[in-house]
Amino acid sequence: MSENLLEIKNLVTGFETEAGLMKAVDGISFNVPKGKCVGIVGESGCGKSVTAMSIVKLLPQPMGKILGGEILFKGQDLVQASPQMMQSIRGKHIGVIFQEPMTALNPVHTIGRQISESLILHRGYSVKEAYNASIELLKRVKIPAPEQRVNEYPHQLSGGMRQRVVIAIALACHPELIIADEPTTALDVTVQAQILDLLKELQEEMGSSSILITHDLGVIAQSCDEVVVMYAGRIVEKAPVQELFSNPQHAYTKGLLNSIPRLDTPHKSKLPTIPGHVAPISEFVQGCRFCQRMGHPVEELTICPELIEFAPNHYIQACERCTSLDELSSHPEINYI
Amino acid sequence: METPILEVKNLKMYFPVRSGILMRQTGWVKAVDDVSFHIKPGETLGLVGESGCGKSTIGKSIVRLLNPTSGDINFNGENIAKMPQRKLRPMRPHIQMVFQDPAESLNQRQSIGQIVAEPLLIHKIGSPAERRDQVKKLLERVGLPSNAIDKFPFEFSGGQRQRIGIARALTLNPSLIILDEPVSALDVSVQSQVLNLLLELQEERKLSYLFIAHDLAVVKHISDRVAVMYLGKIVELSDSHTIYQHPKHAYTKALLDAIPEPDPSLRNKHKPLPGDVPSPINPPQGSAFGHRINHPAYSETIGADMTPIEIEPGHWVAPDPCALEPDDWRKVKQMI
Repeated sequence: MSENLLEIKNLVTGFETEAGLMKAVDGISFNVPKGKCVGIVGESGCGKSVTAMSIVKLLPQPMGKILGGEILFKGQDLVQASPQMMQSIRGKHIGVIFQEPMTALNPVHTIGRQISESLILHRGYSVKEAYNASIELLKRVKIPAPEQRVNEYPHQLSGGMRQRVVIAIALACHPELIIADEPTTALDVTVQAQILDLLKELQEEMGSSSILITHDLGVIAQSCDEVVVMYAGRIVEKAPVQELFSNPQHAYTKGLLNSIPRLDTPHKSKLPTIPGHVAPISEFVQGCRFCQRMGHPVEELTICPELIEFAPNHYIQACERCTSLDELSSHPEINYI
Repeated sequence: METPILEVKNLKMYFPVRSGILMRQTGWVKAVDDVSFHIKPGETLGLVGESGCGKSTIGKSIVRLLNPTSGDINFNGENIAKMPQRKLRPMRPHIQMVFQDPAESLNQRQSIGQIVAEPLLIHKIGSPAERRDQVKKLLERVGLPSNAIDKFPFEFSGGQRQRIGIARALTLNPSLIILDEPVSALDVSVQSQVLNLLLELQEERKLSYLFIAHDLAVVKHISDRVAVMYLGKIVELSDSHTIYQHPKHAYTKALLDAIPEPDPSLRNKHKPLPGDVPSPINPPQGSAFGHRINHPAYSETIGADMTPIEIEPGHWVAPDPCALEPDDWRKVKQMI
C-alpha cells in the first residue's frame, strides 16, 4: 500500500452561532495517499467545503473552530500548527483552487502580479524572476498569448481562463497537495472537460496528490481514484472509485447514483428520487441522519452508526436500515429501478 | 400536422453596445440571431447551449419581458412579438415562466400565499377566500405542506422554493410554461424530484414546455425535441432520441462528449472541445464553431447563410462545412 500524504482522523469542525454550536463536520476520517486523487461528494450543506477549509485552516473567523481530531500532513498535525506555520504551508505545500474564479481573484491586480505573489513569498524570487515564472505558468495552464495575458486584469478573461489562472496560482509552488473545491461548477460543460483534463495532467506531471470536492458524481467518476461520500456532516461511504460505482452499499449513495438522468435512461420516465431533504444543521440527530431524512422517528435515532469495513478498503457508516435496499424501495415515494 | 401552440419565426434580439463618454452606440450584441422553431400542444422543446448563447433571451422574449428586435412569435395563431402591452395582458395568463434561481425570483417580504395568489389578484379573479382556497390546492399539488401558505420564502429549502415558483406559474392555468434552468441550482436528489413533478404536471394538465438548460442529459430526459444553440443561433434541432443517437453537428457531439458520465469505466473517451465561446459583441464573420476549432474550411463560411436545413424529416442542422461530416455536408449543399 502506498504511503499517505494526508491522514484525517475523527475531525470535528463546528461553528459558534447565536443558536449554539453547530457541528458542520462531525467525526470524519479519511486518507489521501501519495499521488492519488480523492473525491469528496455530497449535496450542499453536507460539510465537504468545511472539511477542505479545515485542512488549510481558512474557516470563517471567529465562528469556525476545529473542535477535535487530527489532520496529519506528512505526519505533522495541522490542527496544532500555529498561524505562522500554516502560512508557510498554504500555497507552498498545499494549493487551493476555489469554486468561483471571479471572486477568488483580486480585480484590481494584474494576473501576473497575483501569480507572482506566492513565488516571491515562498520561493524568494525577485519581482522580475516571478514575472517570468508567471508567464511560464500561464503557458503550462494553456492560456494563449501568455506574454500579453500576464498584464491583463481578471475582468478581461473568460470564466474558463480565470479558472486556469486560479489553477496557475495554486500550482505555482508545486504543492504536494492540491485541494480543488468545486473547480468546475461555475463553468460550461465543454470548458469543464478542458479544466478537468488540465488538472489531471498537471497533477500527474508534478506527482502531487489532490482532493476534489464536487456535487457531481460524473466528475468524480472521470477524475478520482478514491471517493468519500458525505451526508449531513458525516462520511456515509468511502471506497475506490470503481468499487463505489459498481457496488454501492449505502442507500444514500445508491439513491444519488440512481437519481442522475443519464443519456440512456428512458425518455420522460420517472426518475428514482431520494424522498425528503437534508435536515437543517440545528436539527441533526446523534443517530443515523439518513434515517432522519427518510422520516424515521427522531427519538429512536440516538446511536451513531459505526464505520464498518464492508470489503477491502470499502467502508460504510450506516445502520442496518440504510444498507438494506428494501428501505428505499418500499418507501411510497420511490420507485426503484 | 397539428397546429403548433407556439411558433417562433426568424426571431432576432439585438442589444445596442454603447461606449465612450457620449455613450454613442458602437455596435450590436446579437444575442438571438434569426432563430425559428415551434412547439406543439403538450410537447416539450428543450433548448440547450452554453452560457451566453442566447437561450434565456429567447425565453424572455416569448413572455415579452424583452421586446424582440424583429421576427414573429405566434402564440395560438396570434403574433405577440410586437403586440402592445395593453393587448398583451389578456394573453399573459396563457404563457408563464419559471426562473432559475428560486431564492431570487421570490419576493422575500411576501408570504407564500401572497406570492402564489398574486397572478389571480392582478387578473382580478375570485374573492379572497376563493383565491386562498385555490392557492392551498396548488401548494398541495406541487408537494408542499399545507401550513406553507403563511410562511415566507427563507423558511424553505432550494427545492421547495422551486416548487413555489412552479405553483405560481400554474396559478392562471397556462398552456405554455417557459422553464428557464429550473433545476440547475438544485442538488441532484432534489433535481430528480422536481423533474418528476414537472413530468406529472405536464401529463395532468396537457402543458407545453420550453425547457431551457445547459445540461444535455437533463434536457434529453424531459424533452420530446431538442434544439442546440451556439452563439445566438440554432445549430441543430431534432427529436431527443436522434440528437443523442445520431447527432450531425460537431458542436452537439462535443456537448454530448463533454458530459462527465457517472461511470469510471468510461474515462478519457474523447478529447474536449478546445477554446471558448467567442464574444457575441464581436462574433467571427463565418461559422462561429469553425472559428473556435480553427477548422480549415472556416474561410469558406464567411458570409454564408447558416439557417438550419431539414436534412432528414424533422432533423434540422446548420449547413456548416466545419461541423458536418463530408457525406452530410454534400447532402446539405445540394439542398441550399
